[in-house]
Amino acid sequence: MPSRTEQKALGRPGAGPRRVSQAAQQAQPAGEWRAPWPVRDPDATKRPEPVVPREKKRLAFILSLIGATIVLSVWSLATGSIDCGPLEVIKALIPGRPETDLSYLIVHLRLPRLISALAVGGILALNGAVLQNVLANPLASSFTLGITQGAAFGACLAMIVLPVGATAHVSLSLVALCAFCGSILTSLAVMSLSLLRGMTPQGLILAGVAISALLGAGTMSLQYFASDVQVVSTMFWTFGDLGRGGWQESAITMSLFLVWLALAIFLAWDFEALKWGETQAQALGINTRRLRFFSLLLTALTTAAATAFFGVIGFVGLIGPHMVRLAFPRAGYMFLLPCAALFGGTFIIAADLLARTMLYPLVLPIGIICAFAGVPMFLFLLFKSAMSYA
Amino acid sequence: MLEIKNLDVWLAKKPILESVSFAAAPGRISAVIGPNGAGKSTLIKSVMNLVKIRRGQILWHNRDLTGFSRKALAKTVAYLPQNSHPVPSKVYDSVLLGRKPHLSFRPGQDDRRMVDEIIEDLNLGDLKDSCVTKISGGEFQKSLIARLLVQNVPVMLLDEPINHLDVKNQLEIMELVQGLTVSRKLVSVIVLHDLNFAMGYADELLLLKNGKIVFSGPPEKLSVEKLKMAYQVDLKIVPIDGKLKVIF
Repeated sequence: MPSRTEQKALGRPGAGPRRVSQAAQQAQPAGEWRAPWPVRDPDATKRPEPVVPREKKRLAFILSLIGATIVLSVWSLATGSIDCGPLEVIKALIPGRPETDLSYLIVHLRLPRLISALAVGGILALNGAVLQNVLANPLASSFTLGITQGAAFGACLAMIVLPVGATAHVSLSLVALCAFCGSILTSLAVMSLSLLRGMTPQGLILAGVAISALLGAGTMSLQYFASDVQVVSTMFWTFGDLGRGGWQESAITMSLFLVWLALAIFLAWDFEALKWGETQAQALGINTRRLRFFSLLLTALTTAAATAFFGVIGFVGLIGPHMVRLAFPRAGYMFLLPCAALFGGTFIIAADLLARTMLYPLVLPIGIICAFAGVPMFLFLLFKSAMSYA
Repeated sequence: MLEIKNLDVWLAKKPILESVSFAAAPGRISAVIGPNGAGKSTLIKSVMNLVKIRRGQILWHNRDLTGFSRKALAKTVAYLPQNSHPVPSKVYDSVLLGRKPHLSFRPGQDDRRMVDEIIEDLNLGDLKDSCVTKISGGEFQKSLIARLLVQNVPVMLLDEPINHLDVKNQLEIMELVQGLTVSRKLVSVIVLHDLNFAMGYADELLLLKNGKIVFSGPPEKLSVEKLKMAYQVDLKIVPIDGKLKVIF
């Protein structure tokens, strides 16, 4: 005997939507088929086709980002104590040519700086996008987990307590090492909380903020008992400076960035599912605690490296992902992650160019430029999109 | 056949479910009803391995679901959580997400073809490029059911799928679920608050109160005393036009 469901379903003209639609395709024009349940009139509410197809708009966005990166890179390489044209930059980059003063400058000073800028910007923006997802908070960035404050504390410790001396340039690697350890230890402390059952992403953010405050107090108390020269050198460390690293540092940062970017893109659909919330993601077969721990680990590693080598550079973690989100609110992570990273990299290259040229020969700290240039841009877009929603 | 045997679930040192046993068969709708806090959602969550089970078994073709990995579970059971909120995303991508358990990296041609078919079937075709946050509540709920369907699994668990919808949309969703349950031979377990929808659409009712089963069986067999006892409300079950209606 058929079940109640079956009896009722068989009594209707179509027993199931799948079967009905196939029958409809064979028997009558698709437009005339009526579903067994009431449906909205498709013609009445048909939404107008977008003027520019979405795929093309996205492709144009990616291509213009890449174009901007190339133009800004050449410009950045051509600008400095000796200015030159784009052709000379390309000539200097071709291997096997006799080395001139200019080509030495470009290859050994400006190119590592450029690569560092791209990698640091990419890392910070990518980490912002990933953290905002796994911590389910649009404000999340490397600052939120205390990674930056950990690095600052480590660097302070090295400069003030360890016998590094005030002229930190002598033993930069020791300061970098201490900063790296500081940020890794901090984020490990926060991350180990993520493994606790019942620890929510919001709880993690609060823990990160609390640990940051503790480390901030630690840094300040170190500075309070230090000499003026030491305090100034720690201040300068926190400003952030892309020129601090050489080829080695920029190569390490770049390779970390590329590996993490590839992994993140591989996980794009996991992030996409987690966007819908913890339960939804679990229902779709994702081990959310493992995903969160793995993401936090990679985020901590890359940010720690970037911060240890180049100091504190803020705001890119927010502006990178949110600019892409504001331009493409519906975009998935497959598009968002690489675009945010590229945007972050380009943004830092532009900010660095500005920092070096604005008050030449004075070089401004890149963190200041980032905030001064980025915040108005960010607020403008935010208000514009808020207007369009109203 | 989905079987739950002697299930005990404790949360925060309190019993939420106590020796709950029931079985759900393919092509039939089982509705879980009961007052707030009876353990309806917990029952569904324990099938999804989202709460810790103290005792008992959850069997799918005699294999214990509690031992399944998240991914393996998602290839067997599709779950619509209570109070799902829309997030900015294209309706098409939102449905495509249902293929996630079957993906190794990114969706391929077959996945997209499947999504296209389901979207056509559910009449979501002209919405597929719209933003999930801009469509109506009924359309959103339908898109979530479309996501469960592309997951292409034999068991469908819906936690209050028709809450916050108007009558027309409630009917539409329930008709849809009923049609799909029959045509795809799905095991459908639905948590419902509306007793009339439960009486009208379920083949099997499960009435819970304080974590214990008060009644399980076809709606015709449900006695008014048990319903009154569970809800602590004076109500009547009356046949109107050959259908059983709950009046209160």
